[in-house]
Amino acid sequence: MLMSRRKMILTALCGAVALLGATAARSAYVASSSSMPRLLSVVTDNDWGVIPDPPTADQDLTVIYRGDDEWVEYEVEGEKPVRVDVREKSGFVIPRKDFKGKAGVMLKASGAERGVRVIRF
Amino acid sequence: MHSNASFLLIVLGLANCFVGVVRSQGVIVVPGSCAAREGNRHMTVYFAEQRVRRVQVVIDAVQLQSLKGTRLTQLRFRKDTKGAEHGYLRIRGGEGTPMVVNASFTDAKAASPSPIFRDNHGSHVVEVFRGTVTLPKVATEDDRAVASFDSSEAPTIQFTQPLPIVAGKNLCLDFETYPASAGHSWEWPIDAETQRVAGTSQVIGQACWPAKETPATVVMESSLRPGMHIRTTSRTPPHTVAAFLMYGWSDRLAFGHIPLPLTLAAPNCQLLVSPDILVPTVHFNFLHAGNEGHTSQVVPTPQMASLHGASMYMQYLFLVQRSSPSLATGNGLAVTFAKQVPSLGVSLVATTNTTSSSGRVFLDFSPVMQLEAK
Repeated sequence: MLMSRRKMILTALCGAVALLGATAARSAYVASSSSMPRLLSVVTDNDWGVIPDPPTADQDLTVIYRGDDEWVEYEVEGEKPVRVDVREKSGFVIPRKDFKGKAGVMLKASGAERGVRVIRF
Repeated sequence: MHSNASFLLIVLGLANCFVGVVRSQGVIVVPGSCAAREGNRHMTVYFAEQRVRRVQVVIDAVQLQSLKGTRLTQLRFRKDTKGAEHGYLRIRGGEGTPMVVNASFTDAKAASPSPIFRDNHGSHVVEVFRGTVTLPKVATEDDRAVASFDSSEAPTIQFTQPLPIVAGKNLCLDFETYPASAGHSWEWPIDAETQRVAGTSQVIGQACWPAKETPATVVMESSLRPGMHIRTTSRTPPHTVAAFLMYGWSDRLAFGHIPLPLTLAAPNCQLLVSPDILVPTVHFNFLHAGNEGHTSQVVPTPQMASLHGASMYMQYLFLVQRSSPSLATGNGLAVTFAKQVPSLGVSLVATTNTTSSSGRVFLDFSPVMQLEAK
């Protein structure tokens, strides 16, 4: 009984992945046939915003997270990663002293390309 | 003469009060629990420079009961006062977001919206707004416990045609935002609420390289809800050239008969879960290939009652290229889906690709909105 339940879960997961593939494949059809207006292009964006932009190593870096993860991480080169709870905060500040002698910082969340920003100084 | 004028003023005053009372009866806050307090999250998906989004919000009919017999005429979002101060830093005034809002009354349930947008609409979809929503310039620092829905600080969408409330039906509000182009980076966060429900996860073993942080692989436990997307992130070993996430239904036997753990490569790179599904994931190097990097995976799960409380296993597998190619493994995870069913009465479906017919489901998640009906 337990085995069949687990098999069912994985079969369902496979089905979900297949469903997403199928829906992506027909998106062009939907875009052209739906009565609702659609943009015919995808704007590639990133869940991270920084101030200043472009960042420099001699200024504090204000980081704004625009995604929907509950927590994110940033990692200054050679240092331990720092986890930040972003459930109620939209952003955080990395002080400039953390960047002294460093080549960059990585901002990390889930969401593949959207969730990552690598900053090089 | 003087008394006539006073009488007229009194009558006008009373009439004004009466109109005010009638109008106030047609105003609700969704979700209702946030009428007098700030929500526990914020969202920036609606209003930001050069962002394209489709966000469908499905609202349970219970939330709309007091509006029975009226027509929806206006919608307002609320500023977030608690933690989004960084979000308003770049607002200069005059920023706006082009937007189309379609709405319908539907049988689709707020507790189980479909990832396919079309399936959440009722048969009669009405375009209630097409235009640019102008964002008010607001203070970045705000000491208040909760912001107001005053037009001076609340992004407002005036419906171009009133939408009659259909009693007993759920409301589907469908927002499509087009790229705003103020010429500088900005975002305008809005208040939001979520009823957080989480599954559980347990770490199995460890990554087979000296990861700077352990466990190297983690799952966002609030994503362990049937119908939502499971989110995992992982550190990647130096010199990773390919990353895969394995989903399995056992941590004892691979494919039902190979005993686990199974050593794949030295030192101690072990297969800890059955690799029943192997999915490639996007990975990133940090500055150069010799550093640890990052990878993540977001995968949908079906809305099946039998998944509540069910368990499965996950582990990342890496192809590493040093002098010769080899394999590396992250720690395993045993995860259990949450048992609780959605209870907020509002859920949303969202995508960054407005050409797509489907999006990601966020159960028990809602922007805080004021709906006005007459």
